Amino acid sequence: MLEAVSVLQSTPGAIPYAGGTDILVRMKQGIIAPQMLVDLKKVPEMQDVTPIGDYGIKIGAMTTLSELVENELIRQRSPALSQAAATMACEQVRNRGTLGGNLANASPSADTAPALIVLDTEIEYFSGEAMKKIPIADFFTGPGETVMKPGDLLVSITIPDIARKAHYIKQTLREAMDIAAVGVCLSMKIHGELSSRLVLGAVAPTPIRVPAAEALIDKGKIDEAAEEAARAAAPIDDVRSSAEYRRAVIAPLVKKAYQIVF
Amino acid sequence: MKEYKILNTRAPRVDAFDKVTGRAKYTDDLSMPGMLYGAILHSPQAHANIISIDISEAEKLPGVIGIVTSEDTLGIAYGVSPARYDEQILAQDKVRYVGDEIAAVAATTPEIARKALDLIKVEFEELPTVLDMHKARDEDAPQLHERYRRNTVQEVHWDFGDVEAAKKEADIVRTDTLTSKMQDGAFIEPQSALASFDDRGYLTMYSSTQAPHYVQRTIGMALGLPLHKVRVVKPAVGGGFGPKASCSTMELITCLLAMKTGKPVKTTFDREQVFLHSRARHQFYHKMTTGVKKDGTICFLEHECALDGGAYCSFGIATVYYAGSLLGGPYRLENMKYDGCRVVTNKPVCGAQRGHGAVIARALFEIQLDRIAEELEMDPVELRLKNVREAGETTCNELYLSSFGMKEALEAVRDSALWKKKRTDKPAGKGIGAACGFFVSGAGYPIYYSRTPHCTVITKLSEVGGGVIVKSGAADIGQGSDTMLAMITAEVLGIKLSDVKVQSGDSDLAVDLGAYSSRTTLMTGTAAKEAAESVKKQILEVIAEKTGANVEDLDIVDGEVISSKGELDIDDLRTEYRKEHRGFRGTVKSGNLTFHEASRIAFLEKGSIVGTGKYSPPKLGGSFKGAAVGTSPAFGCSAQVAEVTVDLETGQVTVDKITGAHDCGFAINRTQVEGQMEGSMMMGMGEALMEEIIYDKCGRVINSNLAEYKMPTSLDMPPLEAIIVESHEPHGPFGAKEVGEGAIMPTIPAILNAIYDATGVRIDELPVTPERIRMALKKAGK
Ligand SMILES: Cc1cc2nc3c(=O)[nH]c(=O)nc-3n(C[C@H](O)[C@H](O)[C@H](O)COP(=O)(O)OP(=O)(O)OC[C@H]3O[C@@H](n4cnc5c(N)ncnc54)[C@H](O)[C@@H]3O)c2cc1C
Repeated sequence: MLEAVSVLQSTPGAIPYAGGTDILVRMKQGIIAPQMLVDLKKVPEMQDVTPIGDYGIKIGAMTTLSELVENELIRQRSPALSQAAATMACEQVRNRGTLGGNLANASPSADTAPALIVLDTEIEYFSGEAMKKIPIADFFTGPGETVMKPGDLLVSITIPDIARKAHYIKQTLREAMDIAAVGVCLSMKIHGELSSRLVLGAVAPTPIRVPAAEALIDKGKIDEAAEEAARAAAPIDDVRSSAEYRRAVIAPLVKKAYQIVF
Repeated sequence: MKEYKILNTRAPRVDAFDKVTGRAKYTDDLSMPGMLYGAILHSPQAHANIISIDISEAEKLPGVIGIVTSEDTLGIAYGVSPARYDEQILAQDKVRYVGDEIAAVAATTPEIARKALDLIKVEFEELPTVLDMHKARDEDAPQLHERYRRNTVQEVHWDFGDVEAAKKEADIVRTDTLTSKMQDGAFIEPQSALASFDDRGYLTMYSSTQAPHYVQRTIGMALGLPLHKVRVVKPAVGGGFGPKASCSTMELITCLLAMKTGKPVKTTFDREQVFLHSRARHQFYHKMTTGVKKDGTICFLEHECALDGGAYCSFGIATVYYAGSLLGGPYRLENMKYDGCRVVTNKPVCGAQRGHGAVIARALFEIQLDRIAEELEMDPVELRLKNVREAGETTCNELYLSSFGMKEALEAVRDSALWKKKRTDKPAGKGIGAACGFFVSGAGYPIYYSRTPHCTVITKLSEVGGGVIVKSGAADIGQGSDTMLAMITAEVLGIKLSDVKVQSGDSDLAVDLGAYSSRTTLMTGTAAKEAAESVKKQILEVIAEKTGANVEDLDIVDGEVISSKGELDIDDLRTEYRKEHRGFRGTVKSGNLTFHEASRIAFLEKGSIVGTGKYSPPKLGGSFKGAAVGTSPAFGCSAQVAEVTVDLETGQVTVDKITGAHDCGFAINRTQVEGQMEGSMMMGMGEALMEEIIYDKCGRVINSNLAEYKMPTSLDMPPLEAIIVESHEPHGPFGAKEVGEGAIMPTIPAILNAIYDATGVRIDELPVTPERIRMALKKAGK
């Protein structure tokens, strides 16, 4: 890892290369022209999936999307993440694309982000000369932007040792090879108070949490919570959907997620 | 029915192994020594005058061998319909859409060629654009071509029967509209062409095309070459669906570059260029007023239609005629008025696509029938059954139905889909809908005025004995026509499918108008049958003479010559054959004279044995203007039932099942017939629910890739049931007629009718996305 970091930090125009499923598309379209790609496929610190306590899990950034779908530990401990990964792209892209790539790419519609945010995940990344650890909710700063600077490396994520039920709903036109028009992810603690988390994807510059709606869900006021969520969104018109439609489906999707999780 | 050995089976395709192992060669897989790569400079402007083109910097780039602009062309206009040749190989003084071709480069690598494009400087004078077909018809709209007043390429005005009188008889009259969107062909293989020009003036082009013949003619005309010196070869092709049915600008440019540089040149489109070149489905606007009597009898149809076809005419004349004429069937409709127009706008050019011209017209008419059935409180399937035509009838626009299994098809889907039961007890959000369709089995006339045979087939007996080689110009573009030709030939000759070799898709071999308008099985199949019969006759004549038998008593069955009058005296023939094959192992078994022996002996006697066949349609059509379009030696028909689930909150549609029945006359290959039906349903489903080319306000396509141009994936496809109906068409080989395009006709309206059944809201704009459904439900207060 340190070797990769040193190359990245010392070479102008070098960027990390994980599965390449975002990078190569943009290179071919002429949107980016990196001077060097630093392939992370064999960096040992970024590979493993390890359990933490009874419910937690640490996942290396280079874990492929297919691995998120199939890994038994991930399926048991954070099924919403597996389920979100299964909605992504197609088999071939999932075999190449990685968790770290999806997060570092920071698309507002990135499918792994909502599932990780509702699980209070932390991100470990190497910056400058040290590892840093921050809540994932603080990681995204805008479309395609994160707190990471050029030369930084996302190393792993940690889902804390707290039992939560969660579900992700991805609104798309078709069953596969489609980007979320709206993503809704909801989680609740299994033991003790609900302490729910509600995240919306693809309706704002970053995935957003809606604390006001969470509070209403905790009180059992799901209809009001769903309306609150719709209000919190700041969707745009694009080639996939109008802002109006995006806003219109948030409430029903929140209710649907609630029915499944609760 | 006659028992067949090979026909009507599920024989594996002749190209199956090559396709699944990757051994099949597509145009882009080919290369030649010294080959250069072509790249095309497309217009970034939707409508502009070209002030100047400066290629000097590009020429200096090392690796650039040749650059062409309109100055390198003869300036000969070309297109699809001779009456509307309105395209130039490279823009002369004006560009008319984002994507119009301005210049092209041949270089030693594709990267250099593309880089050179960036160095070409073009100065434009921007012109006002028009992107909307209704606005394009305004008196003061920007004019794209001097010759098309009010941007109108073609108007059609038809009036069959007596609509005014019929109006008085109708008890219910309804008017509805439907607007569709431009669609993309979205075939898996982007167009590619490899051209070489030799020192004797012969031009050879390998190309991913559906119609080598028309491409050959267009190249000869536009590049000023004698036609016999132009050869067009079609390697394996990964789908066409219509957009590859005419000569593309890219093909002409590639030839031009090869002629200019003297080197072979290959150009391959990227996916964005496929979208820009387009030539796919037009945008349609239809308005229909239909009247029926209380008992459900259809009285009349008054139909207005406008087609947006982008910047040039392409197939547009045929498209606007088809949009009207193909509503002549499958119902008894004696009074039909049609007013259609085809318009140009500053967008990529539309052409023909599966179900040419007729798909959206069919959709709206079938939707209307459902609405009418609802008003009549009649089962929509019953309403249709009451009106369907039968074999032997002629439509109001003089289309003769020589075979017609419409009733059988509709009853088959009704029964198989458990229509009555599912229509009555269904949970909320579930819906079921039905529709019918009607299509030509091969256009009755070529695109240019001619009495040319539509195809010829030359079947040559292998001189060494044992097999035959079928030589045809037919274009197998994945639909399986090579397999059809092999099966027909093997059946006629009484030999194994593996002993027939098919060479096709090469303009040097034979003439064939190409794979469009669902013609190949009926037309080229007939020619192949005739050629094989001739070969068989010639072999048996020799054997009859040699054995003293009567030729009428002889036949070839399972690869052996047999006589209905008992055993033949073949000893001398066998001895001769054995002597010739000293040292060969296992060539002759005892028993009857084998085809291997017989064919070799026939050669020894007569030299090369060749059988030829051709197909020319009988004289077809009425005497009214435009009567030629829509005529066909036969008509296919189909019915489908679609079942859907709609999420009323999000508008999401899940198609649960489609049951389809199609009358293909006779299934030469059952699996291939089902394949065409399933492919049609998939394409129709995409058009109904997802597919839409989206433009920004400058006329740029903003979803010119297969990620954002949405079509169904395998996971979106529901179970499909394909029921084959065989009505035995008298004009087709062994009774066969089309399935390639007709099967798409009912899909869109069946799905839309099912969505209405599920939601109670009608949507008059395609595709019916979740968004459009949600907004329609909202408007309806649901
Ligand atoms: C056809 C197709 C369909 C797709 N569908 C979906 C979908 O449904 N949902 C979805 O969310 N995404 C989708 N994507 C996008 C993409 O596949 C995912 O975002 C994927 O997870 C990216 O991972 P990767 O390893 O390929 O990233 P790469 O392309 O290798 O990298 C992406 C970016 O992240 C940076 N990066 C990668 N790893 C690190 C690291 N460890 N530290 C720091 N920076 C890093 C790279 O420098 C680059 O800027 C699709 C892509 C394609 C081509």
